[in-house]
Amino acid sequence: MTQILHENLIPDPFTEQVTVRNYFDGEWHEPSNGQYLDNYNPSTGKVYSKIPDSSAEDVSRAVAAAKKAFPVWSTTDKETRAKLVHKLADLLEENLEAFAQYETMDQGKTLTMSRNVDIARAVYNFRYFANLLTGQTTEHVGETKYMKMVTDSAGAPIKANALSYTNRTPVGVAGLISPWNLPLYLLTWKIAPCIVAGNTCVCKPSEFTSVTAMMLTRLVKAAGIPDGVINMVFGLGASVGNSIVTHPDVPLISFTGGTVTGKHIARTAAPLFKHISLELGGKNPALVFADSNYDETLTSLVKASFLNQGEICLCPSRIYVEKSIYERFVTDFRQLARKLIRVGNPTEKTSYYGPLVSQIHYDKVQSYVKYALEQGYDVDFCVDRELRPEVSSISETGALTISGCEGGYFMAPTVITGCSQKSRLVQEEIFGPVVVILPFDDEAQAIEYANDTSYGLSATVWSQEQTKLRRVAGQIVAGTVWCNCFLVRNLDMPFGGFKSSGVGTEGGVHSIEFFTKVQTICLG
Amino acid sequence: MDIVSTLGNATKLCINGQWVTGGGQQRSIYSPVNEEAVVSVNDASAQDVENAVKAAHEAFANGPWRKFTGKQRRDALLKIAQVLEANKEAMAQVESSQTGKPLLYSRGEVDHVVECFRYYAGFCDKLHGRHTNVDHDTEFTSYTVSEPLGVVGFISSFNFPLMLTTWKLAPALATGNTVVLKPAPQTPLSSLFLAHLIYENGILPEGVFNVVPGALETGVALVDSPLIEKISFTGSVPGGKAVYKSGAASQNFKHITLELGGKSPNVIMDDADIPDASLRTAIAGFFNSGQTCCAGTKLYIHEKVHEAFTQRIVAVAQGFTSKMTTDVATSSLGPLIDKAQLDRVSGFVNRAVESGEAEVLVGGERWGDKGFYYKPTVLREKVHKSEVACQEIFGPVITIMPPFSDIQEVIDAEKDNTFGLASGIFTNNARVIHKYSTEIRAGTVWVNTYNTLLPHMPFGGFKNSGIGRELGHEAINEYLIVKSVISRFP
Repeated sequence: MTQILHENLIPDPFTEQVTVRNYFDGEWHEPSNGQYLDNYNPSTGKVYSKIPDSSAEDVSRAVAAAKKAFPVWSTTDKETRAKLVHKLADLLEENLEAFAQYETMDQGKTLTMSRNVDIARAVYNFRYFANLLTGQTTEHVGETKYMKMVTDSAGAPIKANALSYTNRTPVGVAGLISPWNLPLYLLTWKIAPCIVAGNTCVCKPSEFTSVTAMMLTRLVKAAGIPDGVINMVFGLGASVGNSIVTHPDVPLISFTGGTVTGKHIARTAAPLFKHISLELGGKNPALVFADSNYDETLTSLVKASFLNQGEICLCPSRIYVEKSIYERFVTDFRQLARKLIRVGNPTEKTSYYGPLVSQIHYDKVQSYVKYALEQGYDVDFCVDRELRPEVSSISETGALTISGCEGGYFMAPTVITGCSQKSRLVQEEIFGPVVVILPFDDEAQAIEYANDTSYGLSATVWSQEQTKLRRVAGQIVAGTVWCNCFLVRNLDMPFGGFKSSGVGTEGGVHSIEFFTKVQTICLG
Repeated sequence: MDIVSTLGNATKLCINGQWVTGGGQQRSIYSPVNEEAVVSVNDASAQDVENAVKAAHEAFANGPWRKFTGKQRRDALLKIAQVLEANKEAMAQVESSQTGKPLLYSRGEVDHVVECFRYYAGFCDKLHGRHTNVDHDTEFTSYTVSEPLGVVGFISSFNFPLMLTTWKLAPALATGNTVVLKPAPQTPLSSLFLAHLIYENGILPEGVFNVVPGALETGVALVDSPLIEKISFTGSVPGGKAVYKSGAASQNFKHITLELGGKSPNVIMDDADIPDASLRTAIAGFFNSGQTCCAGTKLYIHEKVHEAFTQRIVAVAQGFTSKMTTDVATSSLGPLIDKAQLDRVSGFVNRAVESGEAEVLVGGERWGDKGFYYKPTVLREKVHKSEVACQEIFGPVITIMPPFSDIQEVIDAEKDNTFGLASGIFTNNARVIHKYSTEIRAGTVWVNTYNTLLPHMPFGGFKNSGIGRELGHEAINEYLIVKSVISRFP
């Protein structure tokens, strides 16, 4: 059972009604228009809470609160800021189980993922950046001899010494807009460096997954973080998101989400000269060479493709296999997916993944399957009916009905072959448990295929030959290339996408650099 | 080329920018090629050493060098590089005359030395401190400044006289220190010639670079001098221990860098490219006649290719031997530096054979009857922990260890190696490379190559191979000392 370690802080996910309200200036507020949106549990398709349908008015009030809190927070000494952020991390960790339950209820990911990945990483985000702060120094100190603007009595110019150094300072109010696939994980990945660097923020979590963000606001005051430092406004992108992006008092925007929205934000924010960081979509290739460790590669890719319902921007979604092992790989992949990947109630330990996040997304993913069927591609739903008695039916587009979770947005692990490189299935981001597998002739073609989409977020390369790994990895246009592994994240490493996958670099000092401005001070 | 007239005054001591006849013993520098005297030198007396240290100290405390800007030090180092390049052939000949190195390698070493001076010149105007961001509610601002140590003493070795001197000299000058160098007794000439080129071209102020040839007593005098802030020593493990002990016990707590010996393992995996690997392995063990601290003298060969590779390496060794001549212009290998080293190397091999600890597959004896040449030798160990597998021989001797099947066996066996200077591995398997390079305790790990020394990569030992690092950015840090400045503006 969940433990409520702080009275009145975190409601019991099993017994209490979740109430989501906007949070700013240290208090919870109803939306100014009094309107709410339905919030669904994707495992059941039923509404279980409501979230504010906020408007520009709410955003303005939140930004005002953030602006008011900035002078004190930005000049609070580093040790104190770090200590408070550590306290927030501690409180989050103490309530990990409750947060995990809420995340699963809201997003559909398994409880295993919520506990071990989402909430655990949210805790670590705070701790990592708090620790980074106290070790932070600015760049060089240089001395120069310069001519003073005065001369001595004989008329000769006087030379003096100057000491130059750089000074990094916080910027102001940041607008943080986070997505629905790793809700608290990605929200805290922005909040942590933002406030650690001395800024205040107005956050807009995705309207599909606002609950854990709401729960976080309950811990903020208990951690001792002053009112107005962290503010949250819930609602839709078109209203809330847009208001944040266009607000004149929000100089920094950090957004993670889809490429289309990213384009809109870039277009809107550019004339306002805001600094923006965009983490967008991906269509991540996996290159499987014949000299890879076959069994390890196969297992890793089956698991990686369907992790979190395939709803991670980094999931491998198109797998290229060297032609000498292609047929065997496709057969083995389908068989192993049937064996390893159980789709079911996300609260059950044996489920590998749960439902997709929403009806809209469910429909979108299935539309790709429908298209694949229309084009005559080979579409395989990797569900062994004997092994999975809980699957009571499979639709022709891969929708699953799971007993006990009727109404949930469940989809079969889907493997598609027979399409060409130019196919929509290969070029467009599907963001679901759908993977395409294609053959390649040689190394040059593999690299060509890998780079032949508009995206460039990540890639994986599978081979046992070290010269090949380095040579191939270096030619793939992707921000992160994993060789013989997947999703190994060291928070110090630069992280970001090329091409349509985004703008800007995060991670370690790069995150701090985004959330600060640097000036040169020269003492004469 | 007439060495004596090329050297001119550079057979005396260089103190305070002047050439001074040493008050110590007069002796000859012999060529190990034909055992004939090349030139006569006078060693430094204790008074000479004191004068040199005082000159360096005065140059640091009050001379113009202390006020050189980064740009000016940079230009000085670039000029040294330029002058060396212009005198490359003369310097190579001088180097070969005292060491017997084939000219091909002496010339290559001059190229490397020129590159080192240019590489370190690049640091001179980029020695930054760091500033800690000001907290607005306090009155303090704080920053660091890195400063030179002062007078630094070098004790260099006979195997790469000019190169090892440069590894110390370039970063020391780049950071604004002044130097007193004692070259190895057998090989003072190339360092003296360097001083000659520097002062003849007016590159450094007087007292910044001083050279005092001598033997043990001269080294002791440097280590004991209270005016010297740091000793950088390249030599044997016993020598290093003595320097470390004395340096620690001397009046001031000296900074010490030690580049000592090695017994570096070289690993051949089953997927190694055998023709390529065998040639590189031979060079790893025989280059400079094995007088290389990082020589790959312990050979581990995977059982699948053990016989084939052993045959190959023996053939390569024979090939090297067949190309040995006393002509430095054409020989594949040079001699050992002197009789003492020849006796030492022979001693190891003879004892190994007599005791049954190892068998000779090729070589195992002196080459020729004049000069101190030893044939490239391949031994096969027959007894666990043989002397020839544990001790540094410092000659052209490679010992083949028993075959292995998994890289873990090599890693485990090497835990007992008291040295940790370098290691090589030949394979294309990414996992093995990653595992081995992470787990072997060695200062440099070479993959599919050996003895590749790059100015920007730090070089130094684990365990008894030494402390501190030369080359790379790391060497710069070893010649600087950090000061914190914390200011209050009430």
